[in-house]
Amino acid sequence: MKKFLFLALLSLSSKSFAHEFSSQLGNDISSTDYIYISCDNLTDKVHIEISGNKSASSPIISAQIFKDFQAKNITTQGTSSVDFQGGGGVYNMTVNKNKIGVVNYALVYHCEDSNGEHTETDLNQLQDQ
Amino acid sequence: MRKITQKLIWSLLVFGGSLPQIVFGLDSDTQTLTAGTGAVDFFEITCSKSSDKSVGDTDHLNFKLIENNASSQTPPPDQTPPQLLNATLTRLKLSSKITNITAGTNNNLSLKGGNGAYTLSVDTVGTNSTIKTAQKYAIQYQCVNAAGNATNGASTLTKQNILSAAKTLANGKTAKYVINCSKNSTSGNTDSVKVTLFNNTAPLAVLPSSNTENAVTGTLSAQVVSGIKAKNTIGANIDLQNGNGMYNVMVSSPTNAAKSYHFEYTCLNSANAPTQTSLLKKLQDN
Repeated sequence: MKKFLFLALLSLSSKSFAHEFSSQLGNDISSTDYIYISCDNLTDKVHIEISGNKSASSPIISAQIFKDFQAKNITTQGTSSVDFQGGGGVYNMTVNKNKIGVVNYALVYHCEDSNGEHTETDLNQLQDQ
Repeated sequence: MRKITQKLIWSLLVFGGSLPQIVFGLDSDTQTLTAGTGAVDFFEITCSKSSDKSVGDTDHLNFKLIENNASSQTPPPDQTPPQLLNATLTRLKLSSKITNITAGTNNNLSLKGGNGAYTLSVDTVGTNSTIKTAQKYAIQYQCVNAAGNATNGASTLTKQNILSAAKTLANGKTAKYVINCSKNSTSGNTDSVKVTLFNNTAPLAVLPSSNTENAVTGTLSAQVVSGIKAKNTIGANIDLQNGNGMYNVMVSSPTNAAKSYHFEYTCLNSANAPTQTSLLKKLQDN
């Protein structure tokens, strides 16, 4: 029963809460994580916040969000965020860095309608390097 | 014989033979990324099966990002003027011209003239007349419909969308080629012909301070994406293996800096022989 309640709450969460994801980029400079973020048809934009190591000597982490014929870059040594207005559908995202070295990063992401309300959001990692 | 020559040239180019400075088939020309948060230049390249059956399908896209040194765009005044090539496309009363393609660079021109015969002229007007060595060049062309899709093209110069064999042109001379564009049963009538002229003449010796390319600085990064695969580079040569199909390229700055750059790209089979590489499509220019 407790498990059922937990799962029921979890199923409601996608419309209620921001979504979080964390991963690590390997040592090689070509290392790239590739992620799909799927937003339902009520979506106006996706909001993405990325956090990494704040040390100035650490690699700068960058992410590129692209959909249809548009692309945006977000770059951080700390925390940065970006809104990408592309309606419903799949937003592609690549995450990479400008130096060799292993780095951890975290994402907060959610799809939003034109009133800023969260819409159905899903993430799928296609490539983990 | 021409095929053998082309393959030999490509082998030399790809494997770093006598012309190690030219490793790729196509160049993006100079691009400029503006400063600012979020800026991305976004491109599309399509790799297809080679019309040469012995080459076959694309295995991967080979890509290299090169940052330009803005201070080197104009050679110092005490140096010898550059060796230049110019190209003119004509059809009936229409014409299109590009001038001053310097040694070691390339440029594109197109002419919207529908189906029919186009004449491509290449000359050296503007080159320093004291230079006696012949200039070297190669040409690639493609006939396209109004949507940018390939139609039929033929020329004694080379097959459509295949880099020609190396050509030479003595200073003061003009070379002429005919390109015939016609209707394709799938893509329909030709709208225009697109030509890329590569000036492969070895650039004149320049002072160390005026190199045309910086060492890798990390000011720019590029991502090549196709299917469910992606790779990052800040200047190193990379291969992304995803067969025939569409490859996207994004160029951005980790430091949000403005920077001039170009990149070299070519579609290759598993033996690193060039397959069909489309002309570059720019989806977003920031």
